[in-house]
Amino acid sequence: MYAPYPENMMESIKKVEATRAQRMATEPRRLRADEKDALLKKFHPDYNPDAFAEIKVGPNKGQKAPLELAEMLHSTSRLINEKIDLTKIDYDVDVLVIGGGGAGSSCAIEAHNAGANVMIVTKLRIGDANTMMAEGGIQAADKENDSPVQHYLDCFGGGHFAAKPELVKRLVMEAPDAIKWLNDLGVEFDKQADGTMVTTHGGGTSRKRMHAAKDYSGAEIMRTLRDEVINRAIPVVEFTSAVELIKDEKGQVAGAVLLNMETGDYSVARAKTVVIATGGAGRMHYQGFPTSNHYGATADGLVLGYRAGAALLYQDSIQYHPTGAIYPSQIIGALVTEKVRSVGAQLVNANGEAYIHPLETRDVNASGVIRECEEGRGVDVPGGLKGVWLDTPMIEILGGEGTIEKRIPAMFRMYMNYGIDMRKVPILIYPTLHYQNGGLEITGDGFTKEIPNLLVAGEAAGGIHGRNRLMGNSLLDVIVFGRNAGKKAAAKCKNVELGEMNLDHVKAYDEELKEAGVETNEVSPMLLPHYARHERKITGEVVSA
Amino acid sequence: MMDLYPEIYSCVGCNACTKACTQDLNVMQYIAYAQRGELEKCAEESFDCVSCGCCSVRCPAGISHPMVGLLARRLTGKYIAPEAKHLTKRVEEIHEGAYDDLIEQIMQKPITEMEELYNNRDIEK
Repeated sequence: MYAPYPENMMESIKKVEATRAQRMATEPRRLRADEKDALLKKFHPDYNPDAFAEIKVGPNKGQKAPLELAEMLHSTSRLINEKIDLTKIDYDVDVLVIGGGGAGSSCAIEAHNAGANVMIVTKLRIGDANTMMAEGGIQAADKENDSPVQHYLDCFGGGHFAAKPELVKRLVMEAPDAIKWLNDLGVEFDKQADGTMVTTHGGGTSRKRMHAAKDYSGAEIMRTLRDEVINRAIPVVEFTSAVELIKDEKGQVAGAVLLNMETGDYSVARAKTVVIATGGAGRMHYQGFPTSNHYGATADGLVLGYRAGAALLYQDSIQYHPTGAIYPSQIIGALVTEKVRSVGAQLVNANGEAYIHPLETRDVNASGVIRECEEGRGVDVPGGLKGVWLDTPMIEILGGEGTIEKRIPAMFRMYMNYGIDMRKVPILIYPTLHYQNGGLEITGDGFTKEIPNLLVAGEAAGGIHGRNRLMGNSLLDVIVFGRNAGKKAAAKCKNVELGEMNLDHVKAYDEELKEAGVETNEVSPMLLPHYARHERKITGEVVSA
Repeated sequence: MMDLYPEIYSCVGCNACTKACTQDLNVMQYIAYAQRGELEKCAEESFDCVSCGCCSVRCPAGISHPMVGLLARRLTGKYIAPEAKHLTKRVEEIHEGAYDDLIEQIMQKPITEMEELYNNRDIEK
């Protein structure tokens, strides 16, 4: 018998197999609004009061943030005891894009189109980003039975009616154009023989509008954008972090201080407009969760922007993706794309029960998994962890033999590396820290309210998805708001007259921290996760991390 | 391909690229497709490439396999794959303003009405 799992897990699989035929005959019921609310309140990590702290300084003073983020906001700048010569300008550009992921790259391409002198800085390499790791797909209402208005309803309702209407409007109205733009750049979307896009459901969608490139959707988009940036010879300064924004006496942003990650040298970039496209925060490991995020996801942009005076929105709202791998241990936290459920797999507990509809929104499904595990219906994993099954053999029964290899080849490969053939046995999952729903608050045009020439795009921006993001709206958001930021920044830089550059806001923020009596002995932004093998300099003394 | 990556025709067939592939792709095969101008096949065979470059560092002919696959995919995606007519149509409709009024209306609705609409919306099977 084929047994890639330990004995107790194989015993549970027998129960999953025993109920499969009956489960496939009936679609699990969708929860009512009040049932969802109750489930979220009891089991969603955002409702854990011990995991949040009050922000003591800055525009969001008095609001709460995850402990780890609050610590970064309460830490001082690494420049506080450095002497940076702001008159020695190393890079002088129109548009400075901080971050080399999907949003940063789309932004740079559009700014370049508009004739601006644009430069990307990224602390890792271009494309080393969450966009590259996105799997399932990208939403756009382009089918006959669908409309941007229907997309608006799904997005707004799925985000608990908390999203900003003008941002949702831009997201859904520019979605078809974003897909067309990507298609024209050569992104190979899954299509039928006549050119019709192959589209599926995601959690919380009411129409099948998930476009995909197998389960490499983000990778296919990112490698195409990266190729385009390189082909256009847009300068990309890699392994270089922006560690602080620079402002001028008019309150505008005027560039950034950059840190070479290898040599530790600082340099100065002057820019007429700055776009923060630094992505997410998974590597902060809120509440000890594993993460699906790439190595650099440490909320740097939030700290930079906040210290310069830009407000955050929904910084206390975090997305846990319901299906992260929990076994084998080598891939704990790695994303198991929602597309696995889009193409037919159900969530099944240790007793073989399909306890929930597999395509509820992510916050609801994540809470459901946690409930099953806490109430004793989870499967024990060596090491004291628990998970529930994602019944993948259903996909082959529903779609025919070969469906898994054709539609979700990356998932198939990831598990086969550990001898687990998901065509034959289910896979075990548990929620993984996936996305920051909030971020720096932006206007409908992508600018921060406080600083007239500072823009934010991608995961670093807040308000687009309210308090829960739907699958496929993040790849869409990085393209729509990335492109928008590029166009707007290029137009804006024509009427920006920069004054004298200074770092006064960094000193002022430090004073505020002292007044508020918070001291963390850390510097921020974090730049690399704490488990990185490097030494951090903390106010003069070198401490080994 | 001939213009941009002429070195693909220097392949000696050693198959070191395929043996090195971290994604178990048939790398030499997709280079062969590229040599013959079969771009769609090259695109499909190379689709799972993550551009790690393990193939290229082993290649005695100095071929940049990931770049060849990327070019084939971008050409296929843009020129060879059939146009998605429903997409083109929807983009035109939006540009012509067909949804402007509807989207303004839904943006103005009070939350209670939005909750009602959301909780009772029909979901495509």
